[in-house]
Amino acid sequence: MKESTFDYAELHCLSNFTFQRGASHPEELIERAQYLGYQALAITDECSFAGLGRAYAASKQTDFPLIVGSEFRFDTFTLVLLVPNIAAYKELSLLISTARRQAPKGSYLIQPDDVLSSIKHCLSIVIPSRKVCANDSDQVFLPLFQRFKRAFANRIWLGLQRPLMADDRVIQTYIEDIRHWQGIPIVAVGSVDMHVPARQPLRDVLTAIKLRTSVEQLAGRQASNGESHLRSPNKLMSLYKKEYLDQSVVIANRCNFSMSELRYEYPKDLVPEGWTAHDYLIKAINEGANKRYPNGIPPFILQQIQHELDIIAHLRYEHYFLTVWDLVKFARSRDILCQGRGSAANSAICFCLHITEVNPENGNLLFERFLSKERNEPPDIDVDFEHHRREEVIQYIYQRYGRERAALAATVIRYRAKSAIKDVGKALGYDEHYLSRLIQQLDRRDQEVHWLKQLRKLGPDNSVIYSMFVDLTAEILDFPRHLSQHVGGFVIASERVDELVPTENAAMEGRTIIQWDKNDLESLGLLKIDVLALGMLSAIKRSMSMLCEKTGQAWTLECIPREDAETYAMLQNGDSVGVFQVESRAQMSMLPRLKPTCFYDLVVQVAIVRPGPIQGGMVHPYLQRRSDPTLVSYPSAEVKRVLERTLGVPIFQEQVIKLAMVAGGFSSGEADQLRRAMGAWKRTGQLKPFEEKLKAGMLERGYSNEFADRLCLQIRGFGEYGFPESHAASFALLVYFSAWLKCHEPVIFCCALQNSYPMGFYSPSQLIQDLQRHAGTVLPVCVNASFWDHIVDHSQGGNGMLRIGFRLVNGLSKQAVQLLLNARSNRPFESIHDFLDRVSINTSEREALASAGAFETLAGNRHQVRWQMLGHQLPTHLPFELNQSSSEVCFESPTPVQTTQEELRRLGLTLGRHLMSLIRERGACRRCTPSNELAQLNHGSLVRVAGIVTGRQRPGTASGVTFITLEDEFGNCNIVVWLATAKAQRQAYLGATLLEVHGILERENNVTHIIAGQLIDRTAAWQSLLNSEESSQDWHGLVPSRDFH
Amino acid sequence: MWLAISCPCIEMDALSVMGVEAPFVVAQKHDSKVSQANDAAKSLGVNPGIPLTLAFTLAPTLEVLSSDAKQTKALLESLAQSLGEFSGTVSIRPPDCVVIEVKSMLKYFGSLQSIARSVRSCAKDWVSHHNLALGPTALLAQWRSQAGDQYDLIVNEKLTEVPIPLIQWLDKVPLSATRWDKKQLSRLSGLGLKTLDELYRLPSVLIRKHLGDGLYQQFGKAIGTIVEPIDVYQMPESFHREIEFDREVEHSLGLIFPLKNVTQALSTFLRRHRQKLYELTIKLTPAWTIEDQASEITLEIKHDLGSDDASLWLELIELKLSTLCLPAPIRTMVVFSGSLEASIESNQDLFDTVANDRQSAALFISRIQARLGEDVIKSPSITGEHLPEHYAEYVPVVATDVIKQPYTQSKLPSSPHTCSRPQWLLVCPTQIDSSQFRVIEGPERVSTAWWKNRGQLERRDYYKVLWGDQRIAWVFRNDKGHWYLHGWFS
Repeated sequence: MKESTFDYAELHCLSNFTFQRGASHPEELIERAQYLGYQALAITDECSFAGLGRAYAASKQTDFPLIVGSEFRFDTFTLVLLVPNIAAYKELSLLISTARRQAPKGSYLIQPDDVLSSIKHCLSIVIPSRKVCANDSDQVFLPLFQRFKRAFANRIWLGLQRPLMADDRVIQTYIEDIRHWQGIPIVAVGSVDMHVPARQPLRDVLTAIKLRTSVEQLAGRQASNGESHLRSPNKLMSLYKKEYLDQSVVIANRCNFSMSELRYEYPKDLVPEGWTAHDYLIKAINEGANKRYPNGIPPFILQQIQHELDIIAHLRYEHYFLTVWDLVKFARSRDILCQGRGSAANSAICFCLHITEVNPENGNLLFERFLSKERNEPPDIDVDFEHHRREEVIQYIYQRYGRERAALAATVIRYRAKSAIKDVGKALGYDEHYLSRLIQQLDRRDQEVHWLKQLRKLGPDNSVIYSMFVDLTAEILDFPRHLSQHVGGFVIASERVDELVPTENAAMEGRTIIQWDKNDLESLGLLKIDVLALGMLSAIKRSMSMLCEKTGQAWTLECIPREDAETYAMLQNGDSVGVFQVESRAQMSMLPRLKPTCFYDLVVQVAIVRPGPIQGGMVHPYLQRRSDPTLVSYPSAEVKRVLERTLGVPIFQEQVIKLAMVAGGFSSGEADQLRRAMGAWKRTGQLKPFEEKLKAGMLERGYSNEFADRLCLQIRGFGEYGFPESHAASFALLVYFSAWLKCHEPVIFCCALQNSYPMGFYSPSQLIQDLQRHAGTVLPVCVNASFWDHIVDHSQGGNGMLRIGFRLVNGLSKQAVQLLLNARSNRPFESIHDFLDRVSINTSEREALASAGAFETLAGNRHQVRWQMLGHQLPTHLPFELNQSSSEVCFESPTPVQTTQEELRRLGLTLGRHLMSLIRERGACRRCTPSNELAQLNHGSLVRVAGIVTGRQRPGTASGVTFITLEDEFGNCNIVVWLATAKAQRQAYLGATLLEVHGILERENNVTHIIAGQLIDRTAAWQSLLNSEESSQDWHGLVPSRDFH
Repeated sequence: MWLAISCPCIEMDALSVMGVEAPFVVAQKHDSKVSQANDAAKSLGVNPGIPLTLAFTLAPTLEVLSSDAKQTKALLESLAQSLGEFSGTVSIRPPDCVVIEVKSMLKYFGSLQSIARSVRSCAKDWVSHHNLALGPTALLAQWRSQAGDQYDLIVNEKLTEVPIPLIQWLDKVPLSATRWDKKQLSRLSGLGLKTLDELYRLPSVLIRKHLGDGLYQQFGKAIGTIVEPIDVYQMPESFHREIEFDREVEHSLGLIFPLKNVTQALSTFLRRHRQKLYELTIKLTPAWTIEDQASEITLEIKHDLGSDDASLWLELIELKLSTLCLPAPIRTMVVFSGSLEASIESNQDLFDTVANDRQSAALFISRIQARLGEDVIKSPSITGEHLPEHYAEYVPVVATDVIKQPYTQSKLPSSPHTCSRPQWLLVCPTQIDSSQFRVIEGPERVSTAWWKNRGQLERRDYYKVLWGDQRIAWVFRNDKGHWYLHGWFS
């Protein structure tokens, strides 16, 4: 312990990880305690260790002693348990887990017996409730306390609070009486929930949030003063007897446990007896390498493997790699497609173990980006699995390691702008609608005026309450709100995970999470594997299966021909709807400019359309150099080695780091710090010192000012987000495979995408339309031919025809479909009545089928069919013959408009006429150019287009420009709306479902878009077409617009 | 023959924002879509049904009010009461329609045109928009009025002489006017049916078989093949209106605007009952309470001669309000008439001494209040606030409350502060000198409710002290170090 003239340690303190109670961050508490001269600080969040990660990091940084503990609240007292040693830590972690697992998410359930039976090492402070101290006539507390005294022996104290309430004296008398009678020492406790008294308003607001009321209606439920802060030595000495203060140090001196003692051991189950982990790993690598390189392992690969093995052995991560290898092996044994991504793709070992698919033969790998001795950080391998089958992998983990040894990491959900405004606003009594309005008016991407400043300006002048509202909103930002489940980050341990960190119930049934997030895991040295889901893997896998069926041969990814010219030609045209990573509007605009011709071009394509390279000004220089190689130049040979493959422009994270080393003279450690700062600079703003050092280093080495400035700009750009090359390469593989499938097997690919939905950028309707425009045939849903999933009908040969599956029919359950298929397995349905007699599904589902046109082959008129459905009575066992005939009523066939409307409602797509063709037929939008005729117009032409708004996108990098996608019967138009145009024609810009645009056509490298001048809302034309009284939101529902910013 | 009056903007009318220049919308509580929009909002592209987020983007100055079911219902009832002038059978069809039977009234009004004219004029007093429609049944009239303007009343002078075929009544009335649930309407749309006449052309037995008994019954009531039981509106015996303001009213005369509608409704009510009112009570609840103020402000407006005139009552109220200084903005207002018998004397049971005693007590209190003023008699109540001046309050006694809860001592809610507070709390703390006392006990630190105190967080340290004359006092020291006397223990 520190030597200090002030002998006190605060042993009862809540951080803001006791959600909606604590009003200070763990770091603030640590810093303040140190400043005040405390000996130590115990973070004792309520039934939780969630704040310990940050507390530990802060205590390490400040070298201030942290005591681990937790608080539990019972009816008559509060119990604080403190950890003196590792055994106590484990039992406390287990106790928290037990209490949390017994209760719904976010709460805990604990009985005194739970503590008495399980806690043998922890120190305890018992703080009787004020009510009991005032009147324990029922004698509830004392008998219980005696039980604790017997169980804890010399590990129990009575906690005395002095919050300056009226009954302090009464409380103190009561506690001193117990001390006298029971011989238990008293310790002074602050019961702290904020680091300074100025946090009191925020604390009151948190109380109001917790109680779902406003501060005004708390009516005394909040604390009466702000004394529960870390108090000054003078104050404490004036409030407490010295012996009580001294006891805190006595306790603190017994608490010698440090979080660094936590020994996290990776599971050793996988290593068979007689083998060491290292040797077993080598064996696995050799086996894998032989498969990867059937013609012999290249020498430089062997060298690389050895280099990596040395690092792994030094850091003792063999078990980790074996664990990931085992998971991937399981997936492959179940024919589940999977692929590692991220910095792990830098590893030759991962390639040999089939964890990743990026071949190190292609060079450019930087293993140190993934793992290095200097960094001494745990590896973090992310593996994508087919999204529909990821659950099998998760169940395998639970089955193999048991629920005690495997758990998901948490994600800490923090207060951001919207949640902060809403919760604080409601706590201050503001109306919910008013708060929604405020939020709507904020532009959080405005770089010049921070949104908090905007918020302040939106309020009434001279309103003190509004001013407080803004201040409190700013204060609550980044406060933890609750724990949620990480997408797929698993922690697996050799012993019980809940002895390492408490677990609690997640919202999803059957799932438990640990109380730490990935940052905590990193700072505490725990290993995590990310078991992620990727829809495209499911789609590719399905495509492979369908190819097997079609060709009668086994199809794997290895069967797909590499570097197919036709595939690249398709991509160069920007024809990439459905293709992984390059189907967005921005990517489609980039493809004709970048014109990928080889795999590495795809790697660049994936990485270049990102905020990082865009903000860093890398895109245009790169494209210019591709079209004019004479522009390529390097200031030095070292820089050339780093940037040659990207024509002198840094596009990947690793290049920036390598440049810092070769050009700026950074050591590998400094380069690594730069990498971290790049990732965190928006939160901490810590890039500046690096930039200065880098610039100085470059100038010293003879590089020009211009080069140095450009590199610094690019580094800042990477602060937004840039891809590691290995990650881009992993993704580029999937880009290629999906592009090849789209090019050569479009029907199969479309079918696979549809069956893997939800995924990707486009709706099923858009994918179907794209297929049809590529001459694909799509067959409607049919009771005699469809299945739950879409299928490819090869009866006519060629690429086949896509048969829509029942899964798209809104209102039809899988169970109903199964009944249908069972009935159909004997013989097809011959008529409506035959169907109705053989398939016992409810009326709604029958109607759903009729509405979807599934009976067209049996009876063409869906109105008539629906009528028959409604009137059908199921046969009974009674000897009555039911009159099912309803032929006396005849219904007219639906019009094309009605058919389209019904299909859109029921299926989300239509195989009938596109709405735009119907609208054009009726004269609306007559002078508008269809999308397939735009290619005939010259650059700079005045043009009118119209279509259904299917997307509005306003990227943060685009200076307020909005990209609108209009869909007509022939395809899509890209509209560019400048900020001023949007503001001036707000209604049409925001509210139109059917939009007509008058503007100027621009074309560059076969990429066409229209700069909008006039926007005209033609939604009324659609409404009149459908001739219905329904309100406008139904139009939005028919063809939803994907609006995002 | 029935006449239906449908009010498509009734939610906005109930909140009195229909004709306002600023853009207003009404949204249901906890719903994120626009329910109704006034003309100013519609002109900016804000239409019913769009998401609020879009609405805010289209109209940044948009004001959103939560729909108030109570006020909407009250407005509809007021309309129904007014329409009672024109028919003996009035039926309210929530949420926005009233139907009246008119055939039997023709002999009084002469013609349907005359009735229609009067009804229109009456409806204009209450709502900004309305559609009138006739029908052979109440339900069909209702549907026709809900179908919109194009089904508005077209009076045929000879209407009563030549019966109109049912099919003509049903002609082109959209099915959506029935407001059947979405599933039912979607089903009918899926059969290609769009209007009531198309539905009517189907054999009724098949309607029942194919479309269900519920629809069959409803449709049958509309076309008259099934008798529809009419829920005839009965006027309440007393007048009561409660308004919760979306935006608190800061000045007393700001209450006049909502009171205009209320007095109008009151007048209608009185006239329907053929009564005169002698006394009106208005209770105002402020947004917060301040030292020494009651939690509610009660105004009694009396008129010795009695009146049913809306403008007269409004004038009296205005006079009362003009002298009233609001201690805090007003959040809710309740207006009610006493029993129309106006006297607090009630029938006494010969043998029920308890009840008789209660009534005597109430009578006694009322007489004292009448003599010395309404606020003279008060009873204590605990709020539970930490601040001593807000910890307890005295609220005026209402005579009727005494009848409900007489002698039993009201249970004071338990509060941790109950024992530590002095029996005698000064109305206003008095600054004192520290030499006047000796500290016995303390401190107890209390923070002010910063949200009421203009954001200022002030602390007071309270002490029990021994006064020079041996009395035990309660004093505090504030952040500035000044001492104040706040109460006495003995």
